[in-house]
Amino acid sequence: MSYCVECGVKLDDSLTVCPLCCTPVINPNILMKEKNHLSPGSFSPHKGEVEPMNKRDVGLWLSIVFGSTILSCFLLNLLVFHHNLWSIPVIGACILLWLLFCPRMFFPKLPSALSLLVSGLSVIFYEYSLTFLTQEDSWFFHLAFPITLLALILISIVGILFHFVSKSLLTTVLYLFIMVGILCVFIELSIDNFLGLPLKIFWSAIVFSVCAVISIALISIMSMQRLRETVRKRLHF
Amino acid sequence: MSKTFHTPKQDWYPLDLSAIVYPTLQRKDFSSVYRLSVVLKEEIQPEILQQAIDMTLPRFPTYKVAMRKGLFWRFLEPNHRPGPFVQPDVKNFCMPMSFKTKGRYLLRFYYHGCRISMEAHHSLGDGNGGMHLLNTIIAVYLRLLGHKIPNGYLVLDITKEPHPEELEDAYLRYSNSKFRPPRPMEKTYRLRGTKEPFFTFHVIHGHMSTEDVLEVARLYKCTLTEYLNAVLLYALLKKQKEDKPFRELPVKIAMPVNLRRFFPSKTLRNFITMVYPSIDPRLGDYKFEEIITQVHHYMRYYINAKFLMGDITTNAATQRNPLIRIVPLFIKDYVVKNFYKRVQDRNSSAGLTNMGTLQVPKEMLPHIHRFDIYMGIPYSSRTNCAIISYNNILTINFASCIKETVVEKYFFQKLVEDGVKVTIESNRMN
Repeated sequence: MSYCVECGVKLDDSLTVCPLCCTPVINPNILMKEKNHLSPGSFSPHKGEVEPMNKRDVGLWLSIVFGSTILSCFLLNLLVFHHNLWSIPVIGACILLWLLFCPRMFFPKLPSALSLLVSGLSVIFYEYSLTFLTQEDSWFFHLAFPITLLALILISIVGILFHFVSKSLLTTVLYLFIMVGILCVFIELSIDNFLGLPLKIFWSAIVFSVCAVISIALISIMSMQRLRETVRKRLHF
Repeated sequence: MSKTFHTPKQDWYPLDLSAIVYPTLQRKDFSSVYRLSVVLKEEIQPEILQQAIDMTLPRFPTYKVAMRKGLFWRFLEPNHRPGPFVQPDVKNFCMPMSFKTKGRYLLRFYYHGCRISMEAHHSLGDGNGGMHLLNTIIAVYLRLLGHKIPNGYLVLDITKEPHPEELEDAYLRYSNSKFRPPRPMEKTYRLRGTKEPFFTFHVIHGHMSTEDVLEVARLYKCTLTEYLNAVLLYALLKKQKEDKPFRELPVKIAMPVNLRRFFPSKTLRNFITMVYPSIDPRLGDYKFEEIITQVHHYMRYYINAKFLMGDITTNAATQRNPLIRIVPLFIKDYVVKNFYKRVQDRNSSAGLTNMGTLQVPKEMLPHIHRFDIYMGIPYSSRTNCAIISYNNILTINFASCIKETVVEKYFFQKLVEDGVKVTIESNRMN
């Protein structure tokens, strides 16, 4: 057994560094032995994993609820209240909700990218289904579809950055502000385009400027270690 | 003072007053799970251990259960499925325990070398109840190996039916104070650390002679618990000073008190309440002797039957309120979780529990080296300390999910300064 020269505590044979202060243990007697001959210690070296939760039952129950809603609305629209296609938004909403929530319950290991793609396509499908009710589709092609597509692309980019670059709170907030800024500008331009007005930004310019200022402030905080630590200390709650 | 027992029906058990809170705090990376371990003097035989568990568990009906959801409250339902099964130990113990899937046990058993470990969800019971189960399993295991082990102390007779008092919610029996003192709600110093990724659980384990620590405590004219509380407060104060905060905040420790010491009950379920010894550095710099005096007087003032009864009455009042009772469970979950996150969790800087000195029948003494207790993953990024003493071995376990070990370092360095010989083990950097 060795003692930590910094803390004065006796250290178990399995330890090569003091777990309290990270001071390496240098014991001439142990140096003579091979590292593999160190005591295995009383803690297991193997990592465990939690069993995944079974949500299949909830998924099945939701499928029955959505399925019966779709069927009953369809029959009511067909046989009783058949003056217009009122059941389309209800049926579309049920399919949309099923596609948003249920696939993960049946396939817990479904890749996030595929899940996002399915969710995005289901939103686009739902918006398109509403054109049957409004009897015209220009709003879909000029407004809903481009905005949904851009939102989907931006969410995918944020997802990739979140997964591969950084998951810290500050970075996540930065991604969100950049995304909101870009999306607002695009929404205003799309509205102008849809109404046949000249392409100009007004309210979205204010939102974009606020987002840009906050993003620049966040980037400067993140790039300076000392500043980041100070913000963390001063703002801790 | 005492009323007749509330003997629950045998086909389901409502959650006790403390147990109601734990499932609401469940997150993907957090469950209120604690671990009790025993290190025997011989290598563990997993098949015999499994046999011992299968024989013992029916004697503890409130542990052989699964958690189910009602419209207004959760409840425990007897679980007749096979299990729980013993498995090789893991490095990152106290992993989250999902109870949302029907039929899952809220218990886990592990073995590693000479060590048997039991992990239990806090909804089943507190450390005292869990220790009864573990001790009975050890006794049955040793009997299966051919040793003669009698019942007694925490070893229960597995051939007898459980006493109704073992299954009761003892809070209901004793929460009848005429006055409900308000809950302490003060913002305290919170340890900030670098959070480790999911599935990381760090333990720093220190063991020492109980006599050595008692000797030091006697020099300071206090009890062992008061001394160790003071050392932890001292470590936290030192850490706060080192952080150079904009303004200092009080440092508080959340310490569970075993209510069985004051209100007779054989319950194996939760029967604890929290006290919060604290030091306010805004009043000035405290010397270690002054911290000890403060803790000593706090404990003497607050830990008595009258104050504790008032405290549990305050807690029970919410559960008894008919308006709260009829609120659907999902709303209760939301409110309780937010209250805990915003108020209760911020009310203390660290947790410390002392199980005291564990006694076993003398025939078991030659087979057991030591006992360990771990408080499990802390709800926020802080450190939890759990203490137990057995046969002159005092073990102090710090459990955390953060990289930094500054508080643990100051804690053990203070013990060494006071002349206690500490031996450290850890699952960090293994």
